[in-house]
Amino acid sequence: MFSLKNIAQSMLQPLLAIIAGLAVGAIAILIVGGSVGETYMEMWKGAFGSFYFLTNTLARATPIILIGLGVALAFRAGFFNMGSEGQLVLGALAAAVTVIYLPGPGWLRMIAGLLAGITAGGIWSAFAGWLDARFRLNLLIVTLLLNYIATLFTGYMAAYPLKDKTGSAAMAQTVMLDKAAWLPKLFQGMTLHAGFILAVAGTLLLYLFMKHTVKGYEISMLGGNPLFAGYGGVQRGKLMIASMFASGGFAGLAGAVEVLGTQYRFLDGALTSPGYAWSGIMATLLAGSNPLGTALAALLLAALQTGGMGMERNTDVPLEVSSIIQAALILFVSAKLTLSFIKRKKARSKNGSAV
Amino acid sequence: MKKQMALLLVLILAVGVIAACGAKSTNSGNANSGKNESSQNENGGNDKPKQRIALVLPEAIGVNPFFALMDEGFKRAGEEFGVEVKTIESTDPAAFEQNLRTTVAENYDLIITATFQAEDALNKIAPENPDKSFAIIDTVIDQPNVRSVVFREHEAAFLLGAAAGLSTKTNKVGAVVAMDVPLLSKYTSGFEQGLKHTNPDAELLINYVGSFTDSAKGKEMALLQYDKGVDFIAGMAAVGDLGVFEAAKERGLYASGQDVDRTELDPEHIVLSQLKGTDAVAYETVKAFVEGTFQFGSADYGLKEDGVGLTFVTRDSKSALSPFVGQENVDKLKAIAEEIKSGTIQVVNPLAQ
Repeated sequence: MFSLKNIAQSMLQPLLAIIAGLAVGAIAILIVGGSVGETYMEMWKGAFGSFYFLTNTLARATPIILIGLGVALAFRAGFFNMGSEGQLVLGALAAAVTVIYLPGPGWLRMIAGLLAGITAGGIWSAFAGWLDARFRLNLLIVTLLLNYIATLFTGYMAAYPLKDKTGSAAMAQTVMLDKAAWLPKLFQGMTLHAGFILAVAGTLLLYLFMKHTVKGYEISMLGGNPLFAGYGGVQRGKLMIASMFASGGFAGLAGAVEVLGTQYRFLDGALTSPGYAWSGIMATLLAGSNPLGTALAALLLAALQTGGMGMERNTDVPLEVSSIIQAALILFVSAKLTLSFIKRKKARSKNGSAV
Repeated sequence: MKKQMALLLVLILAVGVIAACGAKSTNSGNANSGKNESSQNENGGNDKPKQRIALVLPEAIGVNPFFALMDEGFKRAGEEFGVEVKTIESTDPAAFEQNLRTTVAENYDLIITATFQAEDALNKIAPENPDKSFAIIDTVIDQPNVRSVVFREHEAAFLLGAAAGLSTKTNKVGAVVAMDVPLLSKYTSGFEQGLKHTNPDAELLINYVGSFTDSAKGKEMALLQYDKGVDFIAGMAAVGDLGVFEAAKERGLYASGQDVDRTELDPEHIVLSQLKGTDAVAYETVKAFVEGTFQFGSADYGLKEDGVGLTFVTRDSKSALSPFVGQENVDKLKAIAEEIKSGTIQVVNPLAQ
């Protein structure tokens, strides 16, 4: 009974955010002269209307879930890792390069590619953590700025040294990966690939880890009260680097599965223009860093995006309106974030630049 | 307490808005379906279900004249030939592939897409659906169920080069090009051939921006060329052309644009525009499909088919002709265009070698 009330309360905030977002979206739809009911109906159909559209949504959700999990882990430990985008593209590039240059059978290169993605994203993220632990550079700023370095670096690599010179050669992209190393599609003719299984497994593992292990408890404690955690014998610096590595590793894995399962090559802009990283961060904020909730919220955001595409395909309402609904959602969610930000600031201690 | 009241109020308002809209939508929904029925009835007379054709674009149309024009021609064809047409824009590569797959799943009779950005997705999807018909504009894909429609841009570039050769006073002209890739050599090579045709002594400077979207760098390249004594620059840099135009205005010199009639922006300095009729090929593709003359393989459109052209020479412009070019030169260029069409002048396609 008590827990039911708890769940209801934790669901209230996201529910309100969604309703308010949809209401603002309704105004936008009315302004462009569409009919709200029909538009939302098409949106629903585009996201969940049939098995085919459902798999589309799940495919879209895959990278968002993985990124969201990573961010949730960092947030839980009290570290504002805003560097998912950079970790994502570095992971993607590392996976592509590994599969292109590593000899051996396809399945081995695929697994090596996934591991390379995790490692690259993890190191990039841990580097930011190290800068904070060692030089007291503000983590939020460092991770944000490292995004630019990573995206521009990968863009350069794709446009010059690794560029695919075959075909019309007008795109900044690496060569196509060997078919043997592709992540298998789950259903014939649909975009959903095996990366989704990794995302689901990651969700469950992270949930169990946070809930049932000592390390998981230490991480939550560090995020909840750094001073108390230090008093209890938790080594902040060490744990910070470890959790930042894991956090970036999730983002790197997201990049790797997108490269191995969707584009089959590293294409500059393919991961940054859909805003996967920011959707992932948003999912985490929506769910208050709960792993299961993050996965659900990621699914919701992906549904909004695929629903937006469906709406654009079948009505005269432009795609931008679904962006407006999403933006309205961010707005309402960030209102909650600001509150918790202020609370944290008050509780800030000498021992943690938690925010 | 106050907060909760406020929340409640917001909630009630929100529900009110949604409910109100819902009511309206049922009405307009009925009206729409009524319309559909009647149009289907009209078609029913022909005893043929209405054909459905989708144009799936890898980007949002936005301010890109290339796509805007294509969409225009596509919609016009849909109206004239009584087929249901739908244009679908995409935000990013993953969304593009999903949109393309969805049009396959939704059983469109013909699916048209465009540009090199679509190559990857179409190369994946076309072999998976061998009984579907596809067409791609502005690039060639070698699949048995795809019709590739490309342009002979080198012919229009030849005309533009010829115009530059006739018009230049300093005997130095420039070209600011997006990227050093095979695709764009159709432009540079054609331009150079045309320039040498009318003015064998003219010097040509070529600079590459390194991107399709960098207008700031396009401007720097143009300023550099003007500083070297160039008096006419052919902008071949997509969005970078906007920078070239700015540079031309600053220096009071001349430039040309691409795809659509760019002279309308600033007729004093943008004196010519190399045209690419993406509207015509979208229109022709739909037309061929409806009339049953649609064939897989590759087709190309040049000056003869009015797929490419040059303002003032092959098509009239709303803006006034600049004295830099002059009517006399335009008449000469018209003769050259005729010679290209009849085959007297052979423009070499650098990609065909």
